Amino acid sequence: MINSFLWVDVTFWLYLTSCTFYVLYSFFYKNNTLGILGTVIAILGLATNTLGLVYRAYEAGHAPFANLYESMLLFTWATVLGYLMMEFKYKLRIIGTFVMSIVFFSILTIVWLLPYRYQNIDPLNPALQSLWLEIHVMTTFIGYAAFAISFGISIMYLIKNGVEKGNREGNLKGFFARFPDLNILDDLNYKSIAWGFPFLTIGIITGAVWANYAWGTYWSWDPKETWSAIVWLIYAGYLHARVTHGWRGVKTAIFAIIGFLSVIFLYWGVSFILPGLHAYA
Amino acid sequence: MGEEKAGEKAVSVKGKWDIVEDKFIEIFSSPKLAIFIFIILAVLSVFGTVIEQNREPSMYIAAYGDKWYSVIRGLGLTDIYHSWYFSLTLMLLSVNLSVCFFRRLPPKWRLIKDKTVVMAEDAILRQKNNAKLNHNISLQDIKGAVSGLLKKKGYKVMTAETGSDVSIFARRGAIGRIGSDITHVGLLIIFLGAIIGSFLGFKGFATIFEGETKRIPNTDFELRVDKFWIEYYDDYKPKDFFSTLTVIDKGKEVFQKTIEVNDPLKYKGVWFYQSSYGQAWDRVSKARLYVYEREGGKFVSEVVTDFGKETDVPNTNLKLKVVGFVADFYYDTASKEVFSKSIEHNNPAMQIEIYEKGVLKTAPWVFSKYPEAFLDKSTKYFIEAAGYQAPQYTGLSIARDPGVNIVWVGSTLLTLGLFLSFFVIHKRIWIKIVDKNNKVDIYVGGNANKNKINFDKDFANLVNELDKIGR
Repeated sequence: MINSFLWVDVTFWLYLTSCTFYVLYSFFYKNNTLGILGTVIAILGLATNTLGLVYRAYEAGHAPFANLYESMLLFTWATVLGYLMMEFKYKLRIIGTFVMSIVFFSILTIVWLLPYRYQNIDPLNPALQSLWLEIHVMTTFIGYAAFAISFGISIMYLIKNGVEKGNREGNLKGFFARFPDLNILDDLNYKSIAWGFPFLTIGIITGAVWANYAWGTYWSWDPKETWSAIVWLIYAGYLHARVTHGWRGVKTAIFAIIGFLSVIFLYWGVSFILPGLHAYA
Repeated sequence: MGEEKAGEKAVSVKGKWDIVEDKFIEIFSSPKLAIFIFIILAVLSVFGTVIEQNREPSMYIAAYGDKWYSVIRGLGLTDIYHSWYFSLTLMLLSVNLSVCFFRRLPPKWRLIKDKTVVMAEDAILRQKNNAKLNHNISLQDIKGAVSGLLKKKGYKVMTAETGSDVSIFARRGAIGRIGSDITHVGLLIIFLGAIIGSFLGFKGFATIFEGETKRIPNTDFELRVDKFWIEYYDDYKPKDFFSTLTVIDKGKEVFQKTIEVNDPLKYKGVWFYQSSYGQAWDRVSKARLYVYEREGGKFVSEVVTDFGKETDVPNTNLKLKVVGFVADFYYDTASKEVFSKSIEHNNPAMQIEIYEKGVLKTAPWVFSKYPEAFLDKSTKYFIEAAGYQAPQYTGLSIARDPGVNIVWVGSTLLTLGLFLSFFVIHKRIWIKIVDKNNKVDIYVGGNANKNKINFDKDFANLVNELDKIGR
């Protein structure tokens, strides 16, 4: 029987395989086939991830964005899509090693770690029955996905920077040979955040519009709202530091890492630790 | 503003206030201050999510103890988002945004408006991206092709000719330069809307029973709830709840609407949101009572009675009347009054007047959960509250916020500004084609205000295509 869980399982194995090929590609730096396999399998994974979301929507009768399990499927979907677009534009397949690792760990958490009750299809509670659900969740998760990609790139930056410092001759071998130049990593990091930030902003604003319709107030300092503002401030800080103040490199990479850690807290931490109105995901 | 008069000013010594003003502008337009404010706001906000806000004192005392509660309260941490220091930080941010806006916009505006078409050859070759080409075509034959090429690439093209050369200025995406300013203005407008809302708006909550009409505080009209109902999913979870409301203004019914969650009613700027529902805690519509003989416990009869209505008990000379109800019984020993401790039906009790042969004998409180708690011995009967039906009320959130549309305008500008500043790039290209006896020299120079790596490619492509013209 074909159902959404089956597609999610298939997606899990495809992302695992894709991630493995990307990692092998970075170690066996003379072999391009491994990288191509990584890309092709990532595309297949994206296709089954899409089917998983579509089947889920069909089974639930509403957009599959109503709980943590469903939103994680959207997160992996948006991250892989965003990464593949980046790969086709910049042809820097090595970044896939890091981004697909994030994707793999994300899908691992929902397939293996998340208790079953979180995987249930729940009927939509009254407040969620709104067109804003689709718009708010989609835009927010495009933002999260872009920040995840920037996180992967920042880690690469710090690794490469550390290795280059220890190796002054500059002839890097093995795992690090394919890492792009530091200034390219820094630029791509900025570009990812330049995508993530406007979408996070729209996500926050559509959330406010929706809250105004459902609860009669567009901002009530609910923990989810407040943390979204904190994340927004962190990335606003990153942008000002980089664009206006001229920060580059290690400092901005660390800034972006702090940003994504706060995104994780906004997404998971707030839902589990801090009580509030926004208790679904 | 002083630039035009710079010549005169250089002679005079700067006044004290000029220095203060310069210092002020320097500090408040610095990105360092902006980043510093972001960090402060973020840290304060974290405090606000870790310490629950606006809860009752007992909750804080239970969580932190008496001593720490007074510290937390003294520091304003129980309502941090309305504390003086949070407001002050937001004010600082507003000043920062305004100063930045007025300082940065004018020079950018001049750049946007700048339409210098004619540029000397060496100035063109000093541009960040530049090239020099030559062609064996006449000036008249090539000039149209060059501007056509630029137009095809989405540039606005302006030309100026002399007898021996053609100057071309091409630009696109100038608006992208002021994206960040639009974002900053958007944020200021959001703040303005929030301030207007907090001073001129109000928020409230009303519980209204079916059929009941209530005057709405802070308004000049009344609201009647005609009907309230809940729809359920198959598993009995609530799917949605609805209230049919009628607005009564100056005694006239003016407007009726059925609201549900996510679909409020709006009248005279006041919004009514379906927010919650519940059962009455102070009244019942119907009660079911069992009557037993106190000695032996023999069942006598069953009575279903309306609230406040005397009802005969069959097979006896009794009449019963339910005169009071509380959902969560509490007896205050000081005032000797009964009231409901909460709106939850934790310990429902009803007061029943018992008449024997038409004479009021007694009026005991009868507890649904503890039928034998207080045995009343004034008659030979024992009365049990077997069940009741409490009317349902609808819970409406009420809000008037005259600032909300301003907030949406600000939000739109903020978002628009972000897209302009990230994705619209101001690109400028100057070309000079110089006639050299039926041959031409072409000087090309250009720059972009961001995403320069991409512009390098664009520019190389352009030079390549210019080179191919007529070959």
